[in-house]
Amino acid sequence: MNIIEINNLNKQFKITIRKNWIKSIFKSEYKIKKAVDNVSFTVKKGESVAFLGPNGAGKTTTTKMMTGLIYPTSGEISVLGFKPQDRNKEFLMKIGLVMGNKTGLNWDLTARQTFSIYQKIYKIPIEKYKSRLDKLSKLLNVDEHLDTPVRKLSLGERMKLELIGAILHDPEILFLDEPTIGLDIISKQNIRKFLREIQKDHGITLILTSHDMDDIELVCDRVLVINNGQLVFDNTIDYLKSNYNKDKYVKFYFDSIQDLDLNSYGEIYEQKDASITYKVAPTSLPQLISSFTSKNNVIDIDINSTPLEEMIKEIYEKK
Amino acid sequence: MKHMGFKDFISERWQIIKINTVETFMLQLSSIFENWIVLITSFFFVIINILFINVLFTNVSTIATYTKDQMILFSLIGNLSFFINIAWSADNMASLIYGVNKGDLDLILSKPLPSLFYVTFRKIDIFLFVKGFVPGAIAYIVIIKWFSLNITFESCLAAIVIFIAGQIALNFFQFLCVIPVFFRGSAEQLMSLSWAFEYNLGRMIPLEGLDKFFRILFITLIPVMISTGLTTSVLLNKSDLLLSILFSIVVSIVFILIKILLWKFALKNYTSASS
Repeated sequence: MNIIEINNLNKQFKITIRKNWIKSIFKSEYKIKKAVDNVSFTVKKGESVAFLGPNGAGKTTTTKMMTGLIYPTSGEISVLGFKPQDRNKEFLMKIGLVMGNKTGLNWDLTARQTFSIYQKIYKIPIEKYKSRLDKLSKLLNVDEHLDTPVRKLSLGERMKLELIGAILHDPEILFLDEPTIGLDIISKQNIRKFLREIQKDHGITLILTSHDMDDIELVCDRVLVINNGQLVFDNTIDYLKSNYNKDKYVKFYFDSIQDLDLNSYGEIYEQKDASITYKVAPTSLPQLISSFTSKNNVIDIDINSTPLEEMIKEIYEKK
Repeated sequence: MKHMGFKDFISERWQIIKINTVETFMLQLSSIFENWIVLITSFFFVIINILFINVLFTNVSTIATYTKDQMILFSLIGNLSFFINIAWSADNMASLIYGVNKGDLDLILSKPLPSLFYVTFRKIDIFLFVKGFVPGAIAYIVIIKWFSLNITFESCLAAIVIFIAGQIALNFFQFLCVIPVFFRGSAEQLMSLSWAFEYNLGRMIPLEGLDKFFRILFITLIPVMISTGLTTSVLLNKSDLLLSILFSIVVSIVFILIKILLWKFALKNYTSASS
């Protein structure tokens, strides 16, 4: 059963241009930016879907239209059978929203104080509220932070509490916009694990936007890649990984280079003053590291998956 | 409203007012040792205001048909209007500007709340009202020679209704000044303009001190004198009670309706601050 249906969705923004500041006092000039360009897709109940794309690709704008925060310029959009832009109360009761760089919790209050306000807003029966808060806070290991003013919490602790606030009312769909942005690795892992658990155990539908490939791999089953407002890929995470994420990118940081024949190690992806990045097949990885480190004075090594931009380039090439 | 009875409609809004009043109070408690300066500032303002009125009335018995005690009463009502406005409306309008610019409004719009009502009553700072208004009010109340004033029970009731309508009108005027933030991304200067009108005109000059054109202007298009000048005038039986009540109620209803339409229009144009 589809709970999200989107057909030919478009969103254009009017952006003010200030070329000449004297002229702009009297007359503003605008340009139209297509943030979302003819996007269509559906989402089934219980799916875990990721919007992947570089900054400014249109993924957050699409999410904001699905949550009813902004109106589409044209196209049809139905979420849980509602038009999100109508902001029907029944619809808003069934969704949760977490924005990685915005705080829903009141900075000067404790999380528990804000949650008790949510309990009234969402009309959660008091017993259910107490048991759910208890369960979720233990699951995310933040029960000891419930009574600390939010401003005194770390970003990771705060984000976990934001998540609790977004699902206290047991929503059918949880929208997450960059939920792990700025977090340390441990916090990121905890949040990803938690999201996976609530999706599987509670059958909650997850819609996640991120440009972090790891968020997507660990939390989602399906990926929608958006670039320049257009949907360029819609398939499973496994398909994306096996077809577009085949290479490893190894970055060596060094003091100085002894061996000047750098091309002999493999395909150079990027070269800077104190670093060099090679693009290699995963099977060639050990050999590359061993031969490069044996001949050069290496300080550090980074091993990364295919950068998003490369994947999108490849998706376009294959199309 | 479509699926909601009148009782539920009122009950939901009463809940919001209760929740937000408690939340603002909790916020005030979290920084209880700050902002006491407002008490001292407002108290000194009242003392200076009383001295100024005394100086004005040294050689004259009335100004703009107001005696000294009537003028002090006008100042008391002006002060009441000012502190209700800053404890409720002005702060909420400033929060709306911030919310639109920083995207905090997203988190309100994504919740099952009557959004316009919620942003209008997001903060209700009773603590600030008490700190700012009460000490000065005591000074005014002690100084006024109440027996010299022509106040009746009817004029009192009428003044209360007009004062409430005036606060609604004032909130509308500030809302009107804030709305451009949805289209232009800023509204701070317009907000300052509304403050300038309210604080420099609304509580400084009695209604009778203005000629007819300005009287009408400042209780209709720029409605900064309904909760101050008109209220005092009605309280002192200087204006027709019934006509003034009727006028204030009609004006406030029209303003509420325009506000609802403007809000819907603004939300259609809301772009939400980028992440």
